[in-house]
Amino acid sequence: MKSHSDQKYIEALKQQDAKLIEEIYAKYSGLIRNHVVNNSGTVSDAKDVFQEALVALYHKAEQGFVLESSFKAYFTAMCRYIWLDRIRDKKRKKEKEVSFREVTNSTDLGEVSEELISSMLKEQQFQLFREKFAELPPHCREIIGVSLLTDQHTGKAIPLKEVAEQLGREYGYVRKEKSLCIKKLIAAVREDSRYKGF
Amino acid sequence: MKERHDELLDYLAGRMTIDQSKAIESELKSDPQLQQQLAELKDLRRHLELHRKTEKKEEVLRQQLDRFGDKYFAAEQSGAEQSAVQETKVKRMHSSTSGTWKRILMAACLMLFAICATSWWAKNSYTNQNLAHSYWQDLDSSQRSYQGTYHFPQANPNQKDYLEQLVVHTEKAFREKDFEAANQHISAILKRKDDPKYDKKTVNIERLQWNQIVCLLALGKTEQARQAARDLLKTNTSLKYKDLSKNLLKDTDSRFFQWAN
Repeated sequence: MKSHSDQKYIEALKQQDAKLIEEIYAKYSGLIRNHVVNNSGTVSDAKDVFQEALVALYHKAEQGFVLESSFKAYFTAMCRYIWLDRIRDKKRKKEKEVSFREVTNSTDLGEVSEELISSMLKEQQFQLFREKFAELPPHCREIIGVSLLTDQHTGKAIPLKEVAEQLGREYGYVRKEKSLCIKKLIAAVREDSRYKGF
Repeated sequence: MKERHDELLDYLAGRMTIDQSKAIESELKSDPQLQQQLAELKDLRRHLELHRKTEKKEEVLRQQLDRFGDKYFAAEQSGAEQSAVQETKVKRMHSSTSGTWKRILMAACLMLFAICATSWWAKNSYTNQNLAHSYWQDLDSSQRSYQGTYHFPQANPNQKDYLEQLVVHTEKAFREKDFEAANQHISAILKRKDDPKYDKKTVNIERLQWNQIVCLLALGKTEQARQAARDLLKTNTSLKYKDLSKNLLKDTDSRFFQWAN
């Protein structure tokens, strides 16, 4: 798959290249600000949306994302999607009455592709998982963290006996707790209204 | 739905024997619920891997993004939003100015109301008549509420009880608030009070003196009333009439009284 010349921005996020990241801000902050402000938002909202889109892109970069279109088109579509989602959320909470049609009809940032929608949904589910994972008791986070992951050096799953040894616990206890903690985490994610399937 | 996380995790981690793996794979083909559990665990593992990978780096990246955000979105703010902020400030200034005027106006209204209320109260409480009425009310109730069946023939100066007859006439006039008549009767009594040809058993001179002061006040003769009060204070009158005289002098000396009259 041939990458776009703008792939450098994706790599910049992965490498935390301050110069290129600033270039993204310099080039697109005005565009995003206009879009958000023209659609019932504030400059502060625009700043949040911009940052959220960059973090989502960073997550994609870490998973090997390859940019096929221009960065501008992809990034602005991401921002548009995020802002749309926030408006939907606000509407749901009845915090603010905004014209949903007005926002969805605006085409200044281009159409949102299926691929982007799917990747944004994944991003949202990842954020939800993170949130619920952080809410687990510390021993649960520890057991899940060690038992579910693969060894960073060998890339192979760590045997449960080794996990028990690493944690200084009984094998039986770790096996039982691991099962309970995973159950708890899955239930917490499923019960959240933002859950749209793993 | 029975949770089979342990088996599935073992399967995902490659901790199963070949036979065990084959068995679970064949189950997976026919069991959608088990497929869903496997998908969930796969996603959970993927999220966890990503979390481990990005957690620390993301923190640093966010700090960087915060800095650029402040720089670029603050600069953007200088246009539309700064003018909006300015507008808000001006509005606040206007509203605070109008707020001050509102407060001043309210204070002025309250003061005006207080002055009017005080004036009304003073006017109603400190006129000669009202003051006299209040002293009249303070008098012995027997004096005010006498409801006897006396006949009031013309008092005869040739009779020995002439002064006592006059006292009865005085009390009647006083009770009926005929201050003019009461004043005349009292003057007549006081003129003859030292004449030995008249009986004076029922004549209470100091009370009559005080009653005359109240009459003078009611008739608008303030200065005469004040002089009479001063005279009464000089005599050996009882403490009660001294107190009443002092109060009268004080009341008629007040600004309210002067203003009301």
